[in-house]
Amino acid sequence: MATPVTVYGPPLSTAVSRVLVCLLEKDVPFQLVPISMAKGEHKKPDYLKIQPFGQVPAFQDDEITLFESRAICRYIADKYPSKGTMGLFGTNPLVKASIDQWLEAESQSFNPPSSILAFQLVFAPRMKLKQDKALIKQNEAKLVKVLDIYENRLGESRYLAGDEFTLADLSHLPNTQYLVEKTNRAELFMSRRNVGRWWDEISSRPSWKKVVEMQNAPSQ
Amino acid sequence: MRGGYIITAFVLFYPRFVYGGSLGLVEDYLRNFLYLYIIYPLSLFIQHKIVCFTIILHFSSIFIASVVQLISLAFVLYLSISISLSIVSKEISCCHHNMAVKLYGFVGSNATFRALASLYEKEVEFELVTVNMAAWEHRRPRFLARNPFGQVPALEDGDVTLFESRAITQYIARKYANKGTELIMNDPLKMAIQTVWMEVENQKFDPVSWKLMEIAMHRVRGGEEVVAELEKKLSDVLDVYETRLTESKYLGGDSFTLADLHHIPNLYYLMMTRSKRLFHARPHVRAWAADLLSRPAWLKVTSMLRW
Repeated sequence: MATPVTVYGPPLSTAVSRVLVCLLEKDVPFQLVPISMAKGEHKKPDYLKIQPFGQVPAFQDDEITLFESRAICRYIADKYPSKGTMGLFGTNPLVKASIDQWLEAESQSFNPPSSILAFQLVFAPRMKLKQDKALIKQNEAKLVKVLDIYENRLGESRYLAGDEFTLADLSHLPNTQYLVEKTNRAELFMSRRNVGRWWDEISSRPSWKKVVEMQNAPSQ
Repeated sequence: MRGGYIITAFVLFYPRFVYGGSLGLVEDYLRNFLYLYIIYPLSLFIQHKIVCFTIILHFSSIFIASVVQLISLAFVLYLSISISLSIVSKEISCCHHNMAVKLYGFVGSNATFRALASLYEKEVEFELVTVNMAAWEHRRPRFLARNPFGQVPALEDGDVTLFESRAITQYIARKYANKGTELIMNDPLKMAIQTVWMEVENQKFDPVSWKLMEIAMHRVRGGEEVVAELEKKLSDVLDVYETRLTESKYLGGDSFTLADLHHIPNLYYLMMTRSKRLFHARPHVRAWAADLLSRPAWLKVTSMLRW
């Protein structure tokens, strides 16, 4: 690859960081183009051409333009099967099916409550918005149910889809990082033995540490 | 002599006029049997051999005709019952039990429908095993072993167990790539674009369409304000779809793929609510929706609602 791939969006965005950690896992060089949401850059016509919903991230390499972080991750994992961490999206159809299953579980069951909690507990105060206590309580209850299921699952296997680290685990990194490190709800994860063990393992991967560094870097 | 003819005529035609139909057949059969043993001696008594012969011939032919009619009636009944039974079983379990592919779910669940649509598109033989939600079967250990989230559907294919309808459809689409409709693009770049729109359905279309559907079906409470807000979100999504569908015949590319299929269950129900006007207001979206809902595989899925 002559030109590095381009990712558009701020590293603080959970969806953007999902793509960044995937690129780092696969040792794919990239350049990050910041998009200032505050200045409304994500709604400008030029940006809407590559991301019609006006959201981050967007992704470009010399062959294709993509959006939706989980779609971008699947593309990267399939395009560079022999680079970096192997087996992120499975080496055979059965493993792929298991990864798909837990990726879908993340999308449908883990992401909604954890996103809402992260927004309410981390971003709303930063944006000087009033927190919705009822919404927090409701989504904490939902998240607890999901984490109980994860606790069982992670007692049976080292990672969600099996004994290897895959996109299914990677997809959980962004929201969990906020909830564990930036809120007082860390015990939701850490009080569960298997979930705690799993979080420690995946969050200490060099790729994720690098992303967290990027997130904590002084504002652009 | 004439009296004999009159008696014979009366005896011959009385049951036909009175009974007719199939009951008449049974009656005829019984009467014919009796008449053979009453009329024959009577005719001998009348002592007219030709009359005897024609009477016996007539009754014999009625007798044979009635028997033949009874047999053919029974055969037609048997045929129609077995044909309708085999159609019923083909729709639900496609041939016989102990199929390699089993889908655990129930007719009426959107997620089950999503998986069913892919099975019909790929022409995969399968068995639908109904999970009794009312009896809380989906929260019992046996089902939780198939899906720890306690939701339908779950798939069993030999040794493989899978949950999440969108993981099931992708598995079916890949495993049976050579059968039925192609649901996944072969080319990696086209596949990547398809995946983008599958994620759009997952992240953008599904949450809002699901909530609108639940409110419309009175499963969840939602006042005018809530509906208006949801419809605004859906309109924004459909605006993007409208533009996309001017550039591409289907959402995921130039052919029908999972990117379109995943929409169908929620779309189907929404088109029965007043939210359908959002789809009808956009010509490309309207045509695309009509196309999806008229697919033969989808019609097979919805026909299951009538069982």
